[in-house]
Amino acid sequence: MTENPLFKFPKARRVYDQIGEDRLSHGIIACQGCPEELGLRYVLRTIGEDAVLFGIPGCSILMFMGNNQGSYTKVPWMMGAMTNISAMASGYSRYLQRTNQKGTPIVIAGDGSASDVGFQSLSGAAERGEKIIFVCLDNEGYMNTGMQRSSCTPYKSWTSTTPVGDFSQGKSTDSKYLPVLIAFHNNAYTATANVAFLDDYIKKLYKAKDAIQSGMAYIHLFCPCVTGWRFGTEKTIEVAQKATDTNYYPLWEAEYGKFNMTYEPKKVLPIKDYLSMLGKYRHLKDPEIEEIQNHVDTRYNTIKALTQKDQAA
Amino acid sequence: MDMVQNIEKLEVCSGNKSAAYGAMVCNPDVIGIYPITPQTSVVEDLSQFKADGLLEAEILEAEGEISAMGSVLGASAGGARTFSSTSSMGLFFMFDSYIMAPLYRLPIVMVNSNRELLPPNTVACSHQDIMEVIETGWIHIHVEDCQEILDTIIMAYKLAEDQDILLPVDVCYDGFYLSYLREPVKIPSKEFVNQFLPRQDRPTIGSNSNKFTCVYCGTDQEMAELRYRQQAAMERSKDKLEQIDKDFGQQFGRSYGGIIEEYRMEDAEFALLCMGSHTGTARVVIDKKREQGIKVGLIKLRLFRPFPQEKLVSVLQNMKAVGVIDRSVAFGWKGGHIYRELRSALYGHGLEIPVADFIAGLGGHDITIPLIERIVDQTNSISQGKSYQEITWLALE
Repeated sequence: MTENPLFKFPKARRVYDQIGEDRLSHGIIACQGCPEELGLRYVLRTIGEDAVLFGIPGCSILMFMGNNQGSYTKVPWMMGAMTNISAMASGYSRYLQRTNQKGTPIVIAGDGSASDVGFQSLSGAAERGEKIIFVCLDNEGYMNTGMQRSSCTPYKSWTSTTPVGDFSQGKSTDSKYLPVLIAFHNNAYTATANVAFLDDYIKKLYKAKDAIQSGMAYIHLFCPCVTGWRFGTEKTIEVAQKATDTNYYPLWEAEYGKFNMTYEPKKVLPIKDYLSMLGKYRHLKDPEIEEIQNHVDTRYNTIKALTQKDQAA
Repeated sequence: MDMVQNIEKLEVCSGNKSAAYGAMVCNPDVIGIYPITPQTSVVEDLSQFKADGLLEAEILEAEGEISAMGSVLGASAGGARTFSSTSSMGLFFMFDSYIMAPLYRLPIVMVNSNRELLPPNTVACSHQDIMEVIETGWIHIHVEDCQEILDTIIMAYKLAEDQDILLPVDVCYDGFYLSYLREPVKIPSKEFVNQFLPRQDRPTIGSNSNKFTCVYCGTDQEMAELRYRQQAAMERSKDKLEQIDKDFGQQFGRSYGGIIEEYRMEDAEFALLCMGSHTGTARVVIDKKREQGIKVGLIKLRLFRPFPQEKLVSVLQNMKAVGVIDRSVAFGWKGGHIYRELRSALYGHGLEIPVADFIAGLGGHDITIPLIERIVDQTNSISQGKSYQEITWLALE
C-alpha cells in the first residue's frame, strides 16, 4: 500500500485543507441530528469525483436521492438489494478493471444489511478481495423501518422487537462485533470510525482509498440514531464522543489482519456515563449496568490484545 | 468493412459445455458463477476457458447465487456484457436480484438448467423452477437440443441489447436431458459472432458526466409509465426475436422458426404443443403417425415469456383439438402452465378448440415415444368429437 502524503501531517487541520469539493448538495433529507449525512459528506469529500455509490433501501439511499426532491449527490449512484449490495458493487468494480476505467465503487449500507441479511455477500466480497469500499453506518438496528433489533444491537438495548416489559428487559444477547469478523477475512483494510472523531475518520477514508488498489476496504462508522436511541438532536456528537471515551466503541484499524489502535481516550469514563444519555437504556438498573461494563471491558481487552500482538511483532 | 469468415469448430460436447461456449463466443465482460446441479459444469467449463486464455471475462466466483446475480446486475448497470447460470433452488436464492434486472432494464443473459424443486429430494428435470418466475419481466426462451443452446445464447444477447428491448433474457434448457447430453455442436468463431453482435450504446452508471443515471422513488404516475414501457418492450420482443432468428439463419445457416416452430402443420387436423427437450421425441412420433395417415402436426414453443398468443392463435385456429405436454404444475389452477396460457390465449379469440393437458416428465420421469403416442392417440380421439378428460397426469394413469 502506498503511504498517503497526508499522513505526514499530524495536525487534523492540514487534513481538512486537502479536502475537495463538496459532492453532497446542501440541505439534508435525514432526521435532524442524524450523523449519517455527515459520514456520507466526508466519504464524498475524500474519495472525490470518481466515486460511484451503491446504496440499499434504507436511510442511505434516501440521502442519495433526496426522497423525490432531487438528487442530493453529485456522483452516480445505484440502489441494490440489502442482501447483496456488496456483490453489486463488486460486479461493477470487476467491469471497471476489465475495461481499465477509473472509478471507486463505494457501498453505503446500514448495520442491518452488513451484519444480517447482507452478511454473506459482504463476507464473500471481503474473502475475494473485491476492490470496493464498504462503509457500514452502524446505528445498532433497523432504524429506517423503525428501531427493530439487528445483530449489531447491543445487550439490554430497547428496540421495538426487543421491548421492555414484565418478561423482557431489552435484547438478551450481545451484539455481533462485525468489524473484527471482517478484519479476520484478512482483507486489505478494516477500521472502526466515529462521527465524533472526524480527523481519524478522514484518515481512514484515505487509507481505504489506497487499500482498494489491492483488496477490499471496510469502514464501520458509529452513527448514533436520534429517533431510535432516544436522545436530543443536539446531543449526537456528544453521544458518539462518549461511546469512544468509555471504551464502548474503540477506534482501531487493521491492514491484512494487523491491528492498530488509532485512538486511546486520556481518561476512560465508566459506561454509565454513556448509557445514561440514551433513552433506549432507560430501564437499566445498577446490576445490569455493571454487567454491560463487563461486556465492554471484555471486548476492549480483546481488541487491545489484538493490537498488542502486532506491536510486539 | 472486411467480412470475417465463419470458421466453425465441431465438437461433441454436453449441453452445459455448449452453454459455456455460447457465452464464450459472445465475449462477455463479467460472469457471476455459483455451482448447482445440473448446471455445475457450465461454471467449470467457463473457469477452464478463462484458465486456458479463451475467455477474457472477469469471473466472479460468488459465495451464493444471490451474489452471482448481484454481481452481474452491478456490472451490467456499469455497461458490461454479462452472463450467469443457475438452476432450481439457486434461481430462487437469487430471486430478489433476478426481479431487479428487468426493472432496471439491464440486458443480462443467463441460462437456466430446468430442474425440479425440493422437497422431496431430487435434482431431476422438470420445468417447475422456471415456471415459478415467469412473471418477473425476463424473456424466457426454451430450447430443444445442445446446438440450439449455443445459438440461442447468441440470439439472446442480440435481443437483450437491442435499443428497443433492453430486457434480460433467460435461455432455459432441460436439466440432465440436455445439460449432460453429448452431441455434436458447431462452435462459431468469436470474431464472426462479434460481427453479428456489435456492442450497443445504452444508458449506464459511470464516473463520466455523460454517463449518469439515477433512480428515484417511484410514485404512482412515474411507476405506471415505467411499467407500461417495460410491458411494451416485452411485446416488441416477439417480432424482434422472429427477425433475429431470420438474420441468424442467414449468417450462421441455422434457424429455429422464431418464437414457435411448426412441424408438419401444413394440412394437420389436430396438433401437439411441446416445449423443451422432449420435442425431439415428439418429432419421431409425429413422423410415425403421419406414415399411418394420421394428420397430426407439432408446435414447438420457443418463447414462453412473452407468451406468443397471436402466433399460436393463428396457427391453431383451424385445429379440431390440441394436446399440450406440460412439465410443470400450476398449483391452484388445475393443470400445467403451458395449458393455462394456451387456454387463455384461445379464449379471447372466441375459439372453442378442445385442449387436453398432459402432465408428464415430473421429477425426471422420461417422456418416451410410447408415452407421446398415447397423447397423440387421445388427442386424435378428441378431434373426432369424443368426450375427454381435461387434465391427465400421465405417470398416474
